[in-house]
Amino acid sequence: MEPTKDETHAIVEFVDVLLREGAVIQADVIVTVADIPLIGISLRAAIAGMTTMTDYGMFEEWDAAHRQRQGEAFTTSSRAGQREE
Amino acid sequence: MTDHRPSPEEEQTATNEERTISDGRYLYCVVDTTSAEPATLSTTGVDDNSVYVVEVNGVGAVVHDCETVYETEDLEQVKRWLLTHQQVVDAAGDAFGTPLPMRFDTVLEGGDASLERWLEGHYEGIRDELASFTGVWEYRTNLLWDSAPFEETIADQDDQLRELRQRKQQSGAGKRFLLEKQYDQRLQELKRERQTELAEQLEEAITPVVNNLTEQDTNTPLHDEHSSVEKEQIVRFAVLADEDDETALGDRLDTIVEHEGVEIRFTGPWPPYTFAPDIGE
Repeated sequence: MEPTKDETHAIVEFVDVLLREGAVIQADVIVTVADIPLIGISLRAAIAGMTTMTDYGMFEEWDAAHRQRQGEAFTTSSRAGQREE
Repeated sequence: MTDHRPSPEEEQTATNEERTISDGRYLYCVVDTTSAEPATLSTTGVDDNSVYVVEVNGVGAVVHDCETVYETEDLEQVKRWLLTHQQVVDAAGDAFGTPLPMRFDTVLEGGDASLERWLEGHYEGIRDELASFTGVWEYRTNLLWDSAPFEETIADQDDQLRELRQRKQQSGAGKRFLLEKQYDQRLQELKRERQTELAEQLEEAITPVVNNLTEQDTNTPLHDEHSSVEKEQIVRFAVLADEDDETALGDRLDTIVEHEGVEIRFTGPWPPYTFAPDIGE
């Protein structure tokens, strides 16, 4: 099987991971590291409750970007990504 | 637009004014800039800000300039921020190879100078981490199970269950109730054994093709409302694997899915969020 980043379960999981994992920096100059567990829980529930992946334009972009990446046989390359609001 | 609200700590000491940041840098991740020119990363980040790289000696911080903390109670807003954040980190990964990813909403004060001082101050550690992640990505596997097929099969295969069923048929109502409880206990025991077996099989199958593996908590409030079947989470693993081993990893997961009722969710490649160390003083 191939790994995915597009499906709802992957995004729900990713939200959790981005809010709770990743390097945490201890330094005087650090202003904030988000510690918003309540929002995290509500957010996860909200995303899990979405009926379609294309509820938001964001997901289409996300989806397209990942499918393109898979098609590029996964090499590191110089890539300027442009995101439109 | 950004919703400005003071954090709980700030509310204790500050006035009702917005918390502004002096020359802030929102930090997405740190990358190895020896693999590509920093200028190759040109993308738009959270809240429509321009993303760029501040570099010190082959190590680069992927940032945007920010004046405010990103806090809001608007879930839609947070969702957009998180997705944008990850798209920036994905773009950085494409350009420079596996990045060292920060937690969401990591902001430093004091401009590029402060950022450079921080990079210099932790240079060796950061550079070593980046080196250890070269060509390697995080993947996550989630083993799920619909136990119904197993329960059906085991009802005939297990001696105790068969015997209890026979005795139930020959018993009156009161006795039957007790026998049903015993049946259920035995069934739960067999299910637990089977789950443990499956989890061990999964771990054994993937260990040879990964560099690092960590078991994760299954007790999260996440659940999939799209599934019509009740599935139990048996185990979750996060692994670090060479990008060249991605196919082999997927093939090995396929061998586990051949078991009845089993579903595996396989996500990635991700930057190594689960394996990223804290960077302290």
